[in-house]
Amino acid sequence: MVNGVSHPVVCKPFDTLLTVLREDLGYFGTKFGCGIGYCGACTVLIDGKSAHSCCLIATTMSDRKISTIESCDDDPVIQKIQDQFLKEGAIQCGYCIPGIVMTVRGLIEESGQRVITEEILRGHLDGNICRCSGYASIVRASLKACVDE
Amino acid sequence: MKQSKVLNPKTLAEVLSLFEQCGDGARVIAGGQSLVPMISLGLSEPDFLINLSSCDDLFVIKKTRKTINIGAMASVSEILNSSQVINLLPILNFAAKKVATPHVRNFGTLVGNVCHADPSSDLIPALLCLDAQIDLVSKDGKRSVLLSEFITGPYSTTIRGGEVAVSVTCQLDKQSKLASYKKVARRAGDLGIATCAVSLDSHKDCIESAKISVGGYLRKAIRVLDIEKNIVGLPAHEICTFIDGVEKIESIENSILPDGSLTNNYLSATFSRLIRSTLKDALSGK
Repeated sequence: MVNGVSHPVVCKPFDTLLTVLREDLGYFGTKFGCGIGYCGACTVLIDGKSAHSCCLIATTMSDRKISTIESCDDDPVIQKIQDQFLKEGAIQCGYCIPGIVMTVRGLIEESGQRVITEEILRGHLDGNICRCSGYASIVRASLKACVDE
Repeated sequence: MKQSKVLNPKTLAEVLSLFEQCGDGARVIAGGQSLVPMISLGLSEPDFLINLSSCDDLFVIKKTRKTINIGAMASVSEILNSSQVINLLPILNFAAKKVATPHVRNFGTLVGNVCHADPSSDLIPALLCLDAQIDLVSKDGKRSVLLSEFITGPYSTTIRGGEVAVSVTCQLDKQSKLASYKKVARRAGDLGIATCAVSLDSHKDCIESAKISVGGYLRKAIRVLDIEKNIVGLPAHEICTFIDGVEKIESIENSILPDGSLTNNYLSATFSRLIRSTLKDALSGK
C-alpha cells in the first residue's frame, strides 16, 4: 500500500522498491541517488520508519504501509516540514530534499512525545547527503519543524 | 534467460525445505541492507531469495537465565531499543548505536550482519567480546559455532549449504562491568577504517580481566589476545602508558588487509591509538 492506496504491480522479482515506485507507479518524488543505501535521496517511510527504498526488494514489501513525499497532500506534518524548509531557504538544487523531509517525518513519528534535540536530529540525518552542502539551513529548518510538533 | 524468484516461507521448516529444493542458487534474505546493494552492484547473483520476514519466530530477542538470544529478523533498531540489551549487554548497545544510519538500522539485522562477515562490521567486535555464538539450523539438525570460528575471512564464513542462521546467542556471564566501543571512519555512518570494542573488569584499580576486539581494514574482526594478556594485573592508570610503549601489536600486524589508499604504518598507528582511547573510555565509564 503506497500513500494509502493499494497498487497491484507486476514487476521483476528482484526489482527494488525504488524502481517500482518510480518506474511502475510514477512516484517520481522519491529520487535515485547512489542505489546502494548511502545517500538517502530515496528515503521513504515503511510502517512509519525511514528506509532506503533502493535497499529493499519490492516483492517483500507487499503487506507494508509505504509513504513517499507525495503523501504531503494528506499529511499536515510533512506540510509543516516543507513550510520550514521554505522559510529557512533550506533548498538549493532540491534533489536530496524529498529524502530529508521523509527522514525528518520518520523521526517525528518515531519520537512520539520525546523531545528532539539537535544532536538527535543530526544523528538521524546521518543517512542523507546534500551535494550542495546546505546542511546548516537544513538542520535549522528540520529542528524548527520538530519543535513545532 | 535466468529464472529468479522471491520466496516467502512462513515457518523455519518451510525455509529449510525451500532451501533443499532450490539448491545452491538460493540465498536467505533478512533485512537485505547488505545483500540488496550487492545484487544491485552485480556482486551477488542469486536465483532465489528466501525471505525470512514472514517467519514470526525469528523476530524475537529472548532472555533465559544465562543467555540472550537474538533472532535472525531482529533489526539493529530493535536491539537498540531492547531494555534487556541496554541493561545486560551494554557493549552491544554501544556498538549498535554506531551501525550505519537510522535507515539501515531500521531494517538491517544483527544476524545478517554477522553472516555478511564484513571485517568493518560494528557489531562483530562487540559480539567477540561477549564470546557470542551463532546458531545454525539445517535439515540435519542444529549446531552452534563461536563467532571467532564462524568467520574465516572477508565476507567468508563456515556456514554450510542448506544451513540457515537463526540466531546469535550471547552468554550473560561473559559480560564485564566496564565496556566501550569506538570507531574511526571517514564520515558518520560509514563502515569503520578501524573499530574497537573493549570489555573490562577491575578491582581496586587493578585490571582483573580484559577483552579487546578490533575490526576494520583487517582480514576479519579479531580479539587482540597479545594486549589482553599483558594488561591483566596492571593498575588501571598504567594501561595507556603500556599501550604507548608497545611498538607493534603482532595480532593486528598479521591481520591487516593491504589497501591501496592507506599504508600499513598508518593503519597500525590508527589501531594502536584507537585501542588506547577505547580502553581509556571504558575505564572512565564513558
